[in-house]
Amino acid sequence: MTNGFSEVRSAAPDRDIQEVAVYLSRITDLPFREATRWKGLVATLSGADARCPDGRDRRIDPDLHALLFPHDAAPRPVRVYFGNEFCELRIPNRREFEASCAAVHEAGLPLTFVTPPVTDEGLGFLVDRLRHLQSSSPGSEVVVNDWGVLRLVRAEFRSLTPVLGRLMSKLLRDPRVTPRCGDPGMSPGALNSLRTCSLDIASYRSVLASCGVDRVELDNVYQGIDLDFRAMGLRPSIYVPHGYVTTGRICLPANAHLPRHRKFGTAAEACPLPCLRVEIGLTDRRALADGGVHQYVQRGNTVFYRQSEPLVSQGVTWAARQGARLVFQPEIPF
Amino acid sequence: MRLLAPTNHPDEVEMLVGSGAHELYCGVVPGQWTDRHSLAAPINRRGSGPGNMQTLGELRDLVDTAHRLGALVHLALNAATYNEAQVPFLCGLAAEAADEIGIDALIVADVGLLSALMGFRPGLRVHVSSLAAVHNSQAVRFFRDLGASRVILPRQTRVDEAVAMARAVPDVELEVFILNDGCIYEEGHCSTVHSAGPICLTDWGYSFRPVGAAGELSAADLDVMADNARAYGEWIGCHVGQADAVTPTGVPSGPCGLCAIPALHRGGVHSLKVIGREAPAYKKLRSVQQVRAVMDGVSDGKSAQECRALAQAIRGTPELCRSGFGCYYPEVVRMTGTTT
Repeated sequence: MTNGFSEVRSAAPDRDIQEVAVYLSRITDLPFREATRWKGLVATLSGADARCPDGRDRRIDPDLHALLFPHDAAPRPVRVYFGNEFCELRIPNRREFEASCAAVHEAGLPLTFVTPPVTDEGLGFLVDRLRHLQSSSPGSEVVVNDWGVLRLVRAEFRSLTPVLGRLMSKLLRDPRVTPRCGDPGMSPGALNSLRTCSLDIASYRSVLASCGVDRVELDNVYQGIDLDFRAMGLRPSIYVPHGYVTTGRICLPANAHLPRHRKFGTAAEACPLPCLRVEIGLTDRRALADGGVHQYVQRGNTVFYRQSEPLVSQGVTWAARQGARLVFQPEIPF
Repeated sequence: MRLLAPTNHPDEVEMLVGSGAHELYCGVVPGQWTDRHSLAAPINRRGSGPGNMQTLGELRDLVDTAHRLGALVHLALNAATYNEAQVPFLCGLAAEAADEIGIDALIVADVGLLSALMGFRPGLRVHVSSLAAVHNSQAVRFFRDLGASRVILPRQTRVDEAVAMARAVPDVELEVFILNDGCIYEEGHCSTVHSAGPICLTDWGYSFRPVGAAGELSAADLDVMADNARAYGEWIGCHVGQADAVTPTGVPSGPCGLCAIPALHRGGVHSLKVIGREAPAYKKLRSVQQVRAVMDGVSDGKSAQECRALAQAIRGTPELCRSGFGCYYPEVVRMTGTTT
């Protein structure tokens, strides 16, 4: 079940992805709310009418499209993800949430609600949204990135299906290091350690099973993933083309408007949500000089890496072989 | 309220306990672990570096001395993740540490290891590491249900949040950070390695681009964001990279939560954690002395305001204290102001 670099780089996927989901941070402002368009979402995103009312061009880069769907130009997405994995202030408000649920429902597609790590205050917001989700769309998935949210869903929303989020699977995602994991000098033991995580532990999976979790979300990592999900009784999802590197409660852009004496705390300052307006390019000036990976993108409180073309190809190949769900993020999920 | 101090050598125990620590935490990397597993597979958060002892003999000496002096010892097995092949060794080590050496608690981050330990050796006392990123009462209950006795809250927890969790789940002890190393991101959700250098200390060049319907960013917007990024760099400098620095009063620099001790005590937080197993003994000593001085102030009936004045006098950095840039809990200073 290895996923070595040489193997991946030389091989196109030998079968199509079985399940494609589209992850949208916001739904109500998108042009394809109508059911007819949902049915060909990826095709829509590839076509001329992908321009949004706000003027954004949401067409997928043709090269990325070819990488993702080499054998089928326009697979029908089978599921819609929405929500935010990283910041409790980006939990959709009630009106947006209900409108989004309705839009996805009208499209006839199942829904996955993505949730972030939360404080007790954030838990309160989630309880309200989950109540609506349970009544309007029972059976929907809830991606949890917090053990407390998992407990809440299991205890109080048993008709919803919890999914373990990608913040919970502790794979190394350090683009300063992981692109070199395929180098010949890397020992097999070290490579194995970097390609596995706690999902490998039987007792970990037992805890997940007791909480009703049988799907786990994963980033597409440079070093590859060496876990036999079929044998483990888990169903994986893999995210392309944006991977997360690190996140936290102290949000660089959210502090821009604050006076110095109130900056960089976790106090409940009113957030103007600069994550909706500004993207921050991070350039590692030292790595740039060394010729290493140096480009990152920050949205809100989270740093992402844009997956390279070989890495996307690797992820698609892996998903096809594992029967994994491919979670496609047209934009950085913020 | 208890004071938890870091250590990496038996010779430090008398000094730390004699200065006021009630509990110690440490790590050990037995030779069998390094023989079997790659350096890429750390046994705990401090990896194979100087934060850990190398033999169970040292661990035994440390525990014997601590117990003789009335202090408890916690052993860290808190790597962010393990794999199945490592679990039997870790369970065996935990059982030996508890049954034969007398460790009082294990510090664990991984749910799989925690569950395996509870199955392997019921009755083990386990503390959940800050790497588990417990930020709410339901998460505290989740780990209580798995058998944990204590939860170490992440650095970016506010005092009011910690107090609310302590009240909501009174049967689980809560521990919070009080002094020394910071993390810019959420440690439990940071997927990078320090062996490549802390990513937060990277020499970043920032560029700001509009997204969505924002249109172009104005020159004024760009100036505000650039100023903010510069302040962010200063804040990072106050939180990390302070390993060998001292304040004008000769106490170690780095993040500090001394002003919050009265509120944490009043709110039912059980333990205060000093960071830095790998730090020089002097830094550990001065750190314990600082925390204990303010804890004693609370015990002696000093008001919160008097305790803050004491804490800030100990630090000797009034400008930094006023800015909140060196604070674990800046909301305490920002709500009440400084007194020096």
